[in-house]
Amino acid sequence: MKASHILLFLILLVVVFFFPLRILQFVTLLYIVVVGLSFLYSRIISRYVIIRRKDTLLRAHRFEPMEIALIVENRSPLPVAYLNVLDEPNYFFASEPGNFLISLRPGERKILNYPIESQRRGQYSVGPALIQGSDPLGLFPFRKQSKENQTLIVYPEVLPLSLQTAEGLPAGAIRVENRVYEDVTRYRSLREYLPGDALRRVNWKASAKTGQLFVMDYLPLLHAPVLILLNLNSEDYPMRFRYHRIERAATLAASLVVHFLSLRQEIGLIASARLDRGEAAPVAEIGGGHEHATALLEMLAKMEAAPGSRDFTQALFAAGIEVPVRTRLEVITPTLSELHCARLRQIREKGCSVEIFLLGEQHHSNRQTYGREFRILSVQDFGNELIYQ
Amino acid sequence: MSLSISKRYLRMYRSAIHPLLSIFLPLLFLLSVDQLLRVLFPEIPWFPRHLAPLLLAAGIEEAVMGNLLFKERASFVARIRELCSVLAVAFGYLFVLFRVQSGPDFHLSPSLIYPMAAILLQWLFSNRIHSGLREREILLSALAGKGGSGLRHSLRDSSYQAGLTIRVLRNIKAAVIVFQFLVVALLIAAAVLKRQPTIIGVLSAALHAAGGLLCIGMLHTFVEEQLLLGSGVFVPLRFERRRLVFSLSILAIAGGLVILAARDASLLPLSALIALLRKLASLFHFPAEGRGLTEALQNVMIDRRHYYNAMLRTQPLPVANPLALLLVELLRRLVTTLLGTGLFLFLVSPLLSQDFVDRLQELKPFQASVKKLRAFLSFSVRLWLRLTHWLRLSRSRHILPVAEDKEDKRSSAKSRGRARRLSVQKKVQMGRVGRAFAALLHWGEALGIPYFLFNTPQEYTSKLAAVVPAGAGQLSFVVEIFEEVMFSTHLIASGRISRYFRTIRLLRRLTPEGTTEAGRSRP
Repeated sequence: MKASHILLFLILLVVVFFFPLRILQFVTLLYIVVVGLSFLYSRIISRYVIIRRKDTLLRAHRFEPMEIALIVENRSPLPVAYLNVLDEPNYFFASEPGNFLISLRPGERKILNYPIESQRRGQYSVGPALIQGSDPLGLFPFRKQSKENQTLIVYPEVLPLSLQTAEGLPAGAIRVENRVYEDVTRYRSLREYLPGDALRRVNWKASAKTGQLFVMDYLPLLHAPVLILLNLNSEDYPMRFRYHRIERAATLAASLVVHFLSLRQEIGLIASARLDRGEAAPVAEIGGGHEHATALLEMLAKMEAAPGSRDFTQALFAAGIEVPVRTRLEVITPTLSELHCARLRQIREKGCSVEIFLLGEQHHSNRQTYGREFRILSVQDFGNELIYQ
Repeated sequence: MSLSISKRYLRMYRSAIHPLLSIFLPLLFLLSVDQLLRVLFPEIPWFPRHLAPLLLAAGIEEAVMGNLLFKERASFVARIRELCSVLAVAFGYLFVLFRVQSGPDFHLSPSLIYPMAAILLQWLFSNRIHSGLREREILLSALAGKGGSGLRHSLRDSSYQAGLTIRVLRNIKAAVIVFQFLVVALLIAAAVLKRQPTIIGVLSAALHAAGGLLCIGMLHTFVEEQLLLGSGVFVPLRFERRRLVFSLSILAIAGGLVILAARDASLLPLSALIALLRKLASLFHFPAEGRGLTEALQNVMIDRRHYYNAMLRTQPLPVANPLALLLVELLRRLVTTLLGTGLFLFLVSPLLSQDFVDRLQELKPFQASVKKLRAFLSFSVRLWLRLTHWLRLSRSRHILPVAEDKEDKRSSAKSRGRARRLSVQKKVQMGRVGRAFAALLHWGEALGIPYFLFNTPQEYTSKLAAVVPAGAGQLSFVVEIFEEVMFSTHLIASGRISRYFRTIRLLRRLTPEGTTEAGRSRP
């Protein structure tokens, strides 16, 4: 309350106390009571109208629409004529801004939704939400800010991939044609004996029952743990389309994670990037399951390009993670040098298969140089098809 | 829910809410002040009638004319002219009122000037408030039909108008507060002088206080809504209505509480306040020289007044020169005439503009008024005939005895015959049609076909058709209309009658050879 208001209030009180005229007392008391009631109303409403968020954490892929939900509740016994609820979408694009006008009955709860779209990968916050209102006479306007913000993690965009898997460890989850990878624990069918079949595969009970030789047939399945090696050194990317290609690399990494997760493979990640503004390179051990994949996607969401140009293949050895034999190493990089190839050769010699995804204009020259040694795939700059042979 | 300002919303504000605010804010204030002044100065002969109808009429006139003139984009001069007209009408009304009361010795008095001044103030306050709220109307009309980001962009485009509106709303709020303050000050004065206001005074002061608070609430709502419009949110009408209901509820609750608490006795005596003020004043020591200076000034003023009075007494009054008196009188009359002429020209000259004359010609007020007058007269005659007939009937019904049934039947047949009596309009129509037919007969006789009284119109026209075969069709039409008019009791449509006259005019131009008069070969 301002000093002038207090002074006016005192003058009105003096008039009420000292002047013996009914109409004068009526008028002055009317002012006092109306102002008092308005003040009380405003205080009660500002205190007992609560705004909170339905979810404190939201996850979405890039360019995927999300719904922000706010819960506004009137816990007071007084009705509210109208309130303005305003939510700040911050970095996000909102076609319909989070700006609402609502009316609340005593004890009423309303859920307000508005869509936003994430244009950028990363971790962001939405809010704080704001309530603006006043008493019916507009004498005491108030503003109230919600304490909690909503965290939004925007994963990289995920696009469909079609990759062939021909090598790996037996007894996995990927179905292949090669019968070398037959899993004796995964029975498929019985079939008639053919010359050349091993005698230990004969199903003697079935053969005795039918009078013919029958052999067991098993599913050929292989297991290929995947390790993604992501080069996000900003200076390795040419200046032209740098941001776009870095995002494209992150998209490819996320697509690989989702692809191999759908094949129920174990995935690991090593990136030459910055995570949470730290200097240490983000590393995730090879592991399986949805939780692990989610952790990898979150890591990719929060990752930023590292300044400078470092040898990204060094992280492969410095990270200290166990790389099993027959691991499939997926390398995502814009450049490939002799040094990089030397380290990748070392890995291959340890029994891993190496696949290189090249971004940018240099992929033609690199393919010509190292194409015979490694399997090199080019990454398209635009479109829903990420790679081409 | 409508998400943009609709035409209905705009119309409601333009024709109802803003005019009501502009009428009732000054009206309640002026009525309260009038009533309290009457209480404070009972010795003065106040305007005997209540001012409310006059002030209300002035306010309504301002609001209605304001809206009409705004539609026509009339200039400020038009409003001044309107004010002059309002004052002239008010003066005329008051003049008649006072003349009736006080007889021929009527002269300008404060009791005449006071209501005139009140009307002037009402009109001016209404005008200021209404024209201020007009800015809001202009802003809302610029934003009409837009929603969301469009609304935001439109408001940004109209940022000057938006700023102006906010300023105007604040000014109106300040005026409301000043009105409230003045009324409270007058009430305090009444309390100090121990004067009890009349019931109308009490009512108007209470209404003024409540209305002022409500108006402040509404002005706050307008400002808040405009801020919301800036963020692309439109406040629907139902939300506004709800807020108004809440405001009224708060006022009602507060009024209920306050009625119970207010009384004609104070908790503390007024003398205690005066003693407190004196004590506070004694805390501040004024320098002795200052007091001396004030006293010296007062003495000088008293001496001067004495000196002036003595001078007036000693100097003889100059004898007025009759020529000078004549000159002064002439000058006075000249100024009065000039003022009257100026006012007349100012008020009447726009009525003589070419536009106005064209409009008059278009409307044909004389013809229209003659037509209306004729219709009114015919209606009056018919009514009179109907009334006399009804009276005669009712009288005869009462007089006739039961034994004279035959006579009664005959009289009822007669009355039926009278009921078929033709109306004045019908008679007029018959006369005109008959005259036109007579002209046709005259034409026929000129062609060598004499008319005999035993000829029916059909027979005569068939003879004519034999001579003038080109007009056979037209003649049959004329006969048809003539017979319908003459032998029926109903009125024929004016279109058909005018066609009848036109046909006769055309027929009279025909010759036996079938050519018109213009083409007739002369020997």
